[in-house]
Amino acid sequence: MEDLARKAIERALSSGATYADIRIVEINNQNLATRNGKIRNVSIVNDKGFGVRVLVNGAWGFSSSCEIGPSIIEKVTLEAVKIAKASAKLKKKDVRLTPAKPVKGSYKTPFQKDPFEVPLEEKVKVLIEADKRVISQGDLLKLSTSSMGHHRENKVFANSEGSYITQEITWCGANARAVAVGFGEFQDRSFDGRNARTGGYEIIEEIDLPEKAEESGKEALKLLTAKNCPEMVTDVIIGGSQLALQVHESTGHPMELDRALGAEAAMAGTSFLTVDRRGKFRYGSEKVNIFADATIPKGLGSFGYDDEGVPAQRVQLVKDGIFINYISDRTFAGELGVPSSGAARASSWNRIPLVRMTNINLEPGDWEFDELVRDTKKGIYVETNRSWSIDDKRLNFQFGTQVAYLIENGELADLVKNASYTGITPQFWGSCDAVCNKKHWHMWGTPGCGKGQPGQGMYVGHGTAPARFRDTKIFSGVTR
Amino acid sequence: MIKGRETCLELAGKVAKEAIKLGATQAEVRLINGTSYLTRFAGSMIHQNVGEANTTLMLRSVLGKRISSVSCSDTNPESIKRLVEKGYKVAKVLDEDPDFISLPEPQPISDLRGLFVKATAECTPDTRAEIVKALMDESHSLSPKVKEVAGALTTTSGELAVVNSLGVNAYARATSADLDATIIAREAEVEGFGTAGDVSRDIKDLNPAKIGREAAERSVGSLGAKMIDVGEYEVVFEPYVVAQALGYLASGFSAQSYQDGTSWMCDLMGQKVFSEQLTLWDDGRDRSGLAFPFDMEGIPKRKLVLIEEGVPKAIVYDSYTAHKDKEKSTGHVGGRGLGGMGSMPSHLIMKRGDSTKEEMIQETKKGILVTNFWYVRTVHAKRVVITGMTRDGTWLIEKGEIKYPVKDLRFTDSLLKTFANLDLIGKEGKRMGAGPYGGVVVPAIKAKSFLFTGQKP
Repeated sequence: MEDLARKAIERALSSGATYADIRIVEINNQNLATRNGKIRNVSIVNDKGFGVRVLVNGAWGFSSSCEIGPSIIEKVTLEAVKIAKASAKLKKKDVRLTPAKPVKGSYKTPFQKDPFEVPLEEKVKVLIEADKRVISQGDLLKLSTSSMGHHRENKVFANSEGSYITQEITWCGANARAVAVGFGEFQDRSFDGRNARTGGYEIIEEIDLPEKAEESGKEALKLLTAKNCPEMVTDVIIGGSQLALQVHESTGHPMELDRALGAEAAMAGTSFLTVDRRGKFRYGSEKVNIFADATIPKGLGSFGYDDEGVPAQRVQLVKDGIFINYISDRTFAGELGVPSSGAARASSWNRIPLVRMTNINLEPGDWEFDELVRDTKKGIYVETNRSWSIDDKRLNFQFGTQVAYLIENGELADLVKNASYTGITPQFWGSCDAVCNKKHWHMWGTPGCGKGQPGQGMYVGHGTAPARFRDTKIFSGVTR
Repeated sequence: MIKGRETCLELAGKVAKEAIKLGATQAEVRLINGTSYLTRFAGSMIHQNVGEANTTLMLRSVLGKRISSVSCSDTNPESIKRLVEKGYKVAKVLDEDPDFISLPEPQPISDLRGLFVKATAECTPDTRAEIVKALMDESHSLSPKVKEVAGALTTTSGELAVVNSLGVNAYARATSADLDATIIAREAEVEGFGTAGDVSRDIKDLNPAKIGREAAERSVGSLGAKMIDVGEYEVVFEPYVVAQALGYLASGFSAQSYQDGTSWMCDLMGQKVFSEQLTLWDDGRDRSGLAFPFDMEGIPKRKLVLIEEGVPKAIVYDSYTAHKDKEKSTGHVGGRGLGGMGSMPSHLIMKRGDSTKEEMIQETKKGILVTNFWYVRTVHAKRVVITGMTRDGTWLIEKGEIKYPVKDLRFTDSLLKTFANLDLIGKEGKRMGAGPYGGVVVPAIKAKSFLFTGQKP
């Protein structure tokens, strides 16, 4: 592989490139799914290829192929150069990469049990048991679906600055969804994909999917006859899994530097966190401290090096409520004159690296969960995402949740259904007055964060603990 | 690089035969091959410019009622051998699926000519840059307030072969060219956004200057947007909105969701749910859309009326869900993925009315003109309550006239209600879609009410 990589880079440089890199990637996926205790799908995917990225005349070009070999590498490299030359015809400024030290290194996700070596029968047994524990609870539970996925990515990165890196990333996740149907509607409760993490089959074993499925089934049944969430402005305690989604949408995305500089205007949108706000804008209350960290063990966004060869690192994004840093790659950090935060990530061999989240985390506070509920005279506790929507600058959001409990006089009271809450990002984070402590802090995952054209799905992580937000608007979406 | 009919069918057929030889009782092979190029621009310059040559070979191996799905991107003999062995090995250890009856039997497929256009397939990076430049030049020439032109031009050339051991032997190739623009106008630190786009099999059909002008006019026209009181308003939806809204109704047509009891259609089939003006069908052979002759199981496309004069009439099947209802597949398996893909409408067409957009605005007492929806999500699936934001130009209409632009609005409302309240339908259909295998044709509409629940500051 090293010879092939060197050949591409030498060919690019001899054809006029001032910078070149190549990624040779092989991805293996194994996905299993059951419905109502019966196997519905087992799919095994092997996808490999390479992509060459070049800077010519100050502009980018990229080409890629699923065939790998000396002659096709030459052809694809020359095509990337041709594409870059066309890009340069419509440039307004030259791309200036922020400096990065050349790296020779390797990284492998630590794991105890190789998920690809565990027999399929064993995995199917877990999923069928999870389904059975749902549908055995009664006729109203019409649907139970369980699934499990394993992902392995082997990649070689080399660039014209002397870097050569090999990595093997492995992650696993499992879901269980229970759907209760009756009284003219349905309610679903799931143990969802936010539990995916880097590591081996031990990640699945730690989950205990059948038990989680059974709990989901019980709650789905209760939701069917629960009252709709009342409309009110109240104190909201957001559970860890839902808060992971909140961090993802209203913190991670607006802090991507390419968005802030307009590169995603046509698709994902821009950001309210414009560059003049860096270092002084009050993003949240003093209780809000947020950091990106690609080195956290088991984090779904953990790796050794990003897809530009920059080592994984920790970067503080929000300090005592003040927005201080973006997540970035070498291209956009170069525009701002700052170091890359090591967040250039590509979903596969046929996609360019984009500025992506790694693990974006809310630092734990000092509250026990029970203490936080006791401290809340009137409010609501919401958990697990059902729907999510936020505007193109990441300001106005509305998130629906699967389950909610009213809080009355410091105690969790009635279960209510169809709870949605809405807000404006900086005001919302400004109303955060309590975050639970380390004991309640958990690394969640988002396995398919979408971005870019052509589209890319990326696996990212979020560490959160339940937190309280004062005076938040909450309502039942269904009564609209 | 396109391999051609003979090579693709021979390769797919060979894989199916190998699977049967190894012990599979049935086998299905899907070969997707092609190239895709995308020139992306932002800040009025090209900032990303990419190309891809990709092949995916997918095999469904059936052993009685045990089914596996395996795929690879490599078509050399060794990889194919590994793929076939893996498919057999996986199927062998699985439990039986009692609901599986059979892969589909072959049905005659009439050719659809003209789906593959050489000019699109052979479009060079320089030509793409020239098209993008024409769009940018026209946008900036409209007004000095136009500050940033963003968007993408995609050209795709693809071929699909589906072969199964029961005799399905389908092949077609197609191209698509898709150009869209998002334009930012700026005046005294206030921003206005506008969008426009078009898609065709033939890149020569795209008119970059027209797209640039349309998007630029919207961006300049939405400068100085104001806050308004949220609540119920009449609405005029541009086709970009209608396409997204129908996408959310479309998931209810899936036989799987109908059989599960989670579709909005479950209690409403055959009843008058929508305005009589609403007639909606799916037709993969209609050339006003991005026609394609068969689905991912090799079943021919045909016209299927889904809603007739406001009454839901039909759901769409793949072979698996069809067998369960003792029906035949309607040819609606889509996507590139493996396994239980399910069925979804892929070529929706909405019956046109007789109104122009101007007439719809004139007929509006107090309403909102919406160019585009953004980040739409389902809040309640059974009532098709959706939430999302307006984007790329939103205006207040009063007494039949556009009064002023308003800041992007959040909506939370039921699409069952919205399409029941259809008032007027546009007389022109707009073709939209991405990639070679599907798309929609929809007009603008006016509805009597739609609930806006928030606004971007």
